[in-house]
Amino acid sequence: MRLIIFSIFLISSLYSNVNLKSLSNNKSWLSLLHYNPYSKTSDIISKNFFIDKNGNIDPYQELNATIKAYNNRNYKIICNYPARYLWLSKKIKYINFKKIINSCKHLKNWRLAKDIDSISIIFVSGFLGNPASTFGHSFIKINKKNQNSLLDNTISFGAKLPKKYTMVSYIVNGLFGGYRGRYTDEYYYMNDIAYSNQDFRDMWEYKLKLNNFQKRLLVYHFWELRKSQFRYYFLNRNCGYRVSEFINIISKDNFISKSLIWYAPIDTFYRLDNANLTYKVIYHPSLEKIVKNRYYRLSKKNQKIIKKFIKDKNSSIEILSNNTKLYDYILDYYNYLMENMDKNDKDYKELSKRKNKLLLQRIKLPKSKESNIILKEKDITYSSYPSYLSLSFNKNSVYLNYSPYSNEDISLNLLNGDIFKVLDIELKISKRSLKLYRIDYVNIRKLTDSFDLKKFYETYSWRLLVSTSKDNNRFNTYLDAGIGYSWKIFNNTKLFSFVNLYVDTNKKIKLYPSLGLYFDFDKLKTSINIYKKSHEKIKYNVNMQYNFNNKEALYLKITKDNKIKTYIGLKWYF
Amino acid sequence: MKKIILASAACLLLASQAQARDLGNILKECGIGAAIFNDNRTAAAISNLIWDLGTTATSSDMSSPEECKGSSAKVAILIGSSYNKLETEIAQGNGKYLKTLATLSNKSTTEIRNKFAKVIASKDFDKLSKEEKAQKLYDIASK
Repeated sequence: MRLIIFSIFLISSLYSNVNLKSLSNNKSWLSLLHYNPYSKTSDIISKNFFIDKNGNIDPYQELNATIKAYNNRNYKIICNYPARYLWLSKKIKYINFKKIINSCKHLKNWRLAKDIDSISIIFVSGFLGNPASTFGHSFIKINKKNQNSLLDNTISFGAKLPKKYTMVSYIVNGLFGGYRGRYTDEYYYMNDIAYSNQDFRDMWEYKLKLNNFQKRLLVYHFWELRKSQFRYYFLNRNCGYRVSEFINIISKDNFISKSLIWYAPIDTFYRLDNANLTYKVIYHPSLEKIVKNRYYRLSKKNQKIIKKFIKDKNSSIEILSNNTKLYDYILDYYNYLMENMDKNDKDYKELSKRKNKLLLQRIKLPKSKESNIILKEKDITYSSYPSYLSLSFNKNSVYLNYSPYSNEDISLNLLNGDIFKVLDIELKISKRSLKLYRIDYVNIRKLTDSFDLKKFYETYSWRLLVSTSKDNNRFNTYLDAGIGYSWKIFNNTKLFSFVNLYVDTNKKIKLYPSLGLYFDFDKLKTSINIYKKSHEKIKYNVNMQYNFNNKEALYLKITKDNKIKTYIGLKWYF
Repeated sequence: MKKIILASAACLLLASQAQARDLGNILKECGIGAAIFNDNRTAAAISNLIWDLGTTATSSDMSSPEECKGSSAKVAILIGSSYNKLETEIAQGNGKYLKTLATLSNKSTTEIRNKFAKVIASKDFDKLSKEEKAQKLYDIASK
């Protein structure tokens, strides 16, 4: 009896100095509960995640319930929340985390928590083949000691799709929370195959500066979330936001602020840079980049042989003369080609037969040596921030522009002249009025460089613009799309040409050609577009921008429509 | 003495048959299924929106059934997911996927290469489906 009284007194005195109310408002605690700063409730919709019946709306009650479970030695609960107790052990002296871990058999044997060397966050570049992937993707990688990196574990957040769905339900549910979201883990090679080898997307790996406590806290939190579900919202409660929520547990900076309406996956990486939480960035090029780069590194003689072998279906493997470099290149090239071909396609079957002959011969030749060629690319945070606000002037008016997501050809990015903009709103300010002038709903341009080995029609470029703009004081909504070709004529210069189709709500339909030039001198970029619609004079627009850094730029725009107009302006990216 | 030898031989035969599991069945048990061989994009079940493959096999042994936790299951999943890469890297004699397979199967890259060379050299290699080729590679790696 005396012992019980003494214990209660000791425990009380040990944590009476800890203000539990204040602790329940701690950023790390709220992040462990996935507390939404705007709705003031947890984003976790699984009731069994919370110990207290009101835990999803009351972080203080949840904290009390967590501590009570420890005091009552409720190991069923204790072993389910190792991250909470690990974190609490630094705040409340009597909570002995070592004792917990030794008592929780399944947790102790959990593979993912063992031999952790470091933790990385990976950004995957945008992909136009899947609407949900257009803004990129991000996931967490747990790097293990003394292990082949393909076997490292990755943690991703995504939505659980039903087996069948329509495009309309996909968009509506994705935007309005109709899908459940959850975290899953798999081997890194699954991500490598999907992103690099099938989607041909680049990846940037940001290795985090974390101490052992922080690494364990993050990994144990994944244990806590293994059965939890969320509502998936494509715009702001997506993979990027959920990755940032993890980092928010250990960071001093707030990684999930300014996320009420929109959170792009790339936002996490700008915040990582600002918080100085990264010690190394590793670029993982896509299979497409690797294949193209390796071709141009080959000697002219070898390029000629490869080109002949690939383009002439009847050419024999004898022309490869047992040169392992040539065999290796062609085999990799065939893998690249065949990844996105229909298996029932006649061309696929022919390629498959050719590949088998190459395999048979290649396997008899000596092993190739490990390649020491490392492709380099700028960090993804070199790019201008995704949203922008701009103010520009011409002789008569002032224009205000806003876009929540904009990758322009003239901003800093790694797109080499491509454009990807969603919602660009322009307001005209003149004398006493502020009026809507133009809305570009979507503006995409993809300039695909020619590649020696591909046929002409396999490397087409394309563009799409859907817009509403003022034309003679009336609003006109139109679609303007084109297909064409682009050439890299110098290192920093591209020439492109399109055949375009213009259709508007006034039932005007026009087919017209355009010619363009794109100059990229790192901070200074220029884009020129010349076009002629039928029964109209030749028109052009010139956009030139000097990017001071990834947040500010000065630009000049010259347009010739009926008259020549010049605009000068400032842009702020954020 | 003869009875003991025969009994032992029978046990060994049964044991080896028990280990030589069908690749397709393992993938099915782990929630991936044979669709991985037919659809180029099945392995791209990740992106921003996850395709519903039923119980998704996990690497950390969290939610996968017992059959997915052993090393042979891990070999099966690697081969099922990346057969094209493995086939090429085995022929080339080098590559990160080949090295990963060697690690998981506890064999050298040379041993895998030499044995797979016989598979490629077989008369019916051209006629085999991707699933059948993967099964042969699995048989080499898991024995």
